[in-house]
Amino acid sequence: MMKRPRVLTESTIRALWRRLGLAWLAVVLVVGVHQVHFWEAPRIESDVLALLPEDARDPSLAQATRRIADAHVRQMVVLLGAADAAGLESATLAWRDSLRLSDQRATLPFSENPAMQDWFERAHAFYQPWRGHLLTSGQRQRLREVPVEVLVQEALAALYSPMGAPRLTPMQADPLNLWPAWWQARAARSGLQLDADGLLHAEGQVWRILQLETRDSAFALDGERRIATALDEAAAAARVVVPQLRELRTGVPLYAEAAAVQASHEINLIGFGSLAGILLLTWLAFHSLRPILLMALSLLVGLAGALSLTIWVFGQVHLLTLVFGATLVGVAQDYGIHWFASRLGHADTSRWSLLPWLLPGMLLALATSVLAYLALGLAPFPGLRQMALFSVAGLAGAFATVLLWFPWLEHEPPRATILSRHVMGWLTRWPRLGADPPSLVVMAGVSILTLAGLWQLRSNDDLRSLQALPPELIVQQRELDRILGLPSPAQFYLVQAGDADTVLRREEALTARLSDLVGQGLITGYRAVSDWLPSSARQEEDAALSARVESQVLAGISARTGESLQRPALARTPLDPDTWLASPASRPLRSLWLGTLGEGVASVVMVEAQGGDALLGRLASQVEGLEGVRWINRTAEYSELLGHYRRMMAWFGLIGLVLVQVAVFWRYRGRSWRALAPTVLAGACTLALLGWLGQPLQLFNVLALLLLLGLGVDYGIFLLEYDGDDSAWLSVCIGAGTTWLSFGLLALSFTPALRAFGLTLLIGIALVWFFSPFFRPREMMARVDDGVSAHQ
Amino acid sequence: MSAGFRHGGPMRWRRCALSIILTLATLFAALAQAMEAPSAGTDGDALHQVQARVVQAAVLRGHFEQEKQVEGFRNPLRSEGRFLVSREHGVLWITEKPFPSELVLTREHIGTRDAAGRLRIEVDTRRQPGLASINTALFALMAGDVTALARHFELEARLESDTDWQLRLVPRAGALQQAFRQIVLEGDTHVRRVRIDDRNGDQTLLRFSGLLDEPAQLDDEEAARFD
Repeated sequence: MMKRPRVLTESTIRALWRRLGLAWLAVVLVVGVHQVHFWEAPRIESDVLALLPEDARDPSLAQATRRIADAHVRQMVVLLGAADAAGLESATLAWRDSLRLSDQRATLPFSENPAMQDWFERAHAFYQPWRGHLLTSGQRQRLREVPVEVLVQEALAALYSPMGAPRLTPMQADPLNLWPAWWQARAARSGLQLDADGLLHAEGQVWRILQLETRDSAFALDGERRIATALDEAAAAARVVVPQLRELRTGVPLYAEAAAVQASHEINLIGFGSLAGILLLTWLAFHSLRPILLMALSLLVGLAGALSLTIWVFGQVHLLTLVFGATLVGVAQDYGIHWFASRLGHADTSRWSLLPWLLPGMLLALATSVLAYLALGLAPFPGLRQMALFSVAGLAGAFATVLLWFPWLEHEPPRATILSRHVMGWLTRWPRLGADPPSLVVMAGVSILTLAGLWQLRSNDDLRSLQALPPELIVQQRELDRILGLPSPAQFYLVQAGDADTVLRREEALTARLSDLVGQGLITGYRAVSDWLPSSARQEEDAALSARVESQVLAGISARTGESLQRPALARTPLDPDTWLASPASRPLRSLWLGTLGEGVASVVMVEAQGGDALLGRLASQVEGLEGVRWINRTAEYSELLGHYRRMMAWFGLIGLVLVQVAVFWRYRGRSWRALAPTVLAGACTLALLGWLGQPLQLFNVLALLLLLGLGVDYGIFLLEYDGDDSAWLSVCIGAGTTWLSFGLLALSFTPALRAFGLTLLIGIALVWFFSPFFRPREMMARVDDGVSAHQ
Repeated sequence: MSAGFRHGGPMRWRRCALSIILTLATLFAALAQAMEAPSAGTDGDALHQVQARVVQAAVLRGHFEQEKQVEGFRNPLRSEGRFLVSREHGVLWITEKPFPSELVLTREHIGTRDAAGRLRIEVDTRRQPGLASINTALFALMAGDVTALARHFELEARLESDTDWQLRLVPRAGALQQAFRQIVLEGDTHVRRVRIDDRNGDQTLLRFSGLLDEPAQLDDEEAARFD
């Protein structure tokens, strides 16, 4: 029933295919070698923020955000809480013992941070020479305003009192005992109350703060719970000692590990789930081992090629790309299925003769899918670009394998099975829509329901749709933030200037305002470098003031006691940023100092506060009139960005629709709308369904619809290209089934974004499959002639 | 997020402040502890003998002389004044010579009274919950909680004669150990002398005299000083 194309003879095709097949073999070998190398030391990114676009309008902000993130990439904090200090001490010992034993069994990827344990002693020793340069604002005011005689009286009273002598230096080195109060002010600003043994008292319990850091080399994300397991065991060991012990933990490595564990679970679920489904369907449809093996080969080549190309372009691959990429298994098999379905339906035709007949439809289907995936990459989200590239490469790899190798590797067409005969039989019984009353009633009904659903659709661009942390980690982080009063890294002040000292001066103007907010109880504290490293102007001013007043006070005390007390010499020059940064004292604060950024120098001031939008507005308004200071709210910015791209991608979707229409029009002319209609209708119905279900519309639903356009049009094309050919219908059914399975499994993902993506495609693909046969033309067309004329 | 600088922070300063508070607490804890009757089955235990010898009182008033040897000073700093310990209210430490000053210690705060009579709060335990537990401990000590005292110090009691005794307190660990070498109390029916040896070499000697257990109630003027 098929007409052979006149241009290509079987032998010329064979000769051409031999060369193409060998060329493809060379490509596949290169990919294979690369894959072996990659899996020896996989470079896999897990930070969700890496998926988000960098702010192109403001590169220095993007850089600042990256440095803030980098500073915490290795840190973890564990809090142990017990009713009393003695119990807590023994629990801590048990906890440390357990970790030491774990480490002896197999080296742990982290260790307790030792540098912090004697931090105060080292920091105090470092700061000592600049004691006179460092005053609190209250001290500065007192030294300026209170008469020297009053200060002398106070100093004497303190000297004779049994209570007046908590000092860090000998009396004459700090006669007014300003130094302890300076340290205490730093501590009060941190909002944390530690007792003499370094224990924290909060929420009616005593807590021990343990800081952990991952080792440089040993930390690789391999989908195993190494850190979490070791910490679980340590907590269990500590609970043997104190059964009511509370343990809270947080830190980027924990999140990364949890994400890796989850992703590896999902990759396996989606990848192997889809694969199993495909192999089962293939077996049911063809009852033969060879199609199964060849399909697996095409998928393997496709996925390996995708991974290699992604790594080659991006340098590494993101975990979520792999999760998303796993759905490719369900999409890329369409070509193989189509090949075998055609072979089944045209068993009497030689496979070389089948090629020219199959090629146009398959190429068009590939083109629309590739276009759709590429459209995902239009948004400047690095993650989406990776996913788009991965998918396009995977599809192309599978396509090339099917087209170039299958004719060589497959010699016998598969036999029809009960399932394939059954499925192929459906098509003739499927109704076609026309201008008759039943069709019109159905169309009107569907239209009304769809419009009603679309009316209810609401959008939501919350950044949280990207986060997929295990709930227990989120709960623990919230508790930890509350107990420790940790500042949020998503909101901060960015202070910029041409040089370091100006940055510090600008910080001081800002922190003066923040101190007022602390006084009003609006925020609990803030963290700023200038608190620990004042500007040189302020230091010089304070040094002069303290030197003058303290000398007078010492003279006064000497006169009353008959002693001759002398103020020992202190540093002559202010503490400078380089010295400070190089010292152990700056270690906990170094992450706030961004250093050279763009043209100048920058630092970050973080705020510790618990509050809603009203407080955020208040904090934002603090920068008014301050030069070089900006309030940055990353959460709000990301949500704004997600909303912006949601609208942008919706427009791209409409443009894509027009482009696909043009592409199919070029081949099908007046019937071309029939290829597109099922997909458009399915897309509208999917949106309506989201509206009815009360699901918010997000960027990821829109992206899924974009992909639906690319995948769904294939079914319309196959049915239009090979109208009345039941083997095309068989391939559409099996293809839709496996695609459906892949995205259905993606809908089980813990990442809300991927879940939204999967759910949208789950509904969409099912609807396109269901709608497509309705839109076949009613009158039989001279399709083969059309096909051939389009060839020429 | 790094919880870095929170960890070390001003701990050492807190330790010092704490040490002073505990010194005072210890002083009177010794008295208070002595108020407890010795428990059965520990006869011969010197510690309990000391406890048995000291008179129990709800309020104790007295006069003190203090001699402080401070680094950098050629001569010891001498001062004197009076004090009041109330199990209910806390401690008043009133230095009269050579410079008047007043220290007030209650459950809620530690404060000093200036020349104009205004109380300045140095430590507010409600705002510094870390110190609240210390203050609670302090009052537990004043109520004679030997267990609490023994948690912070090793106690070494020696009976000098039929009436006189000596009690040596050596800090066990941590904060107190960094501040003090030892605290030595001497007395009979009351504590008469205290010597505090600081880790840095400073030394404080206290002598008590004119100790009165009566009246057991505070008068209005005394009670007002705690507010």
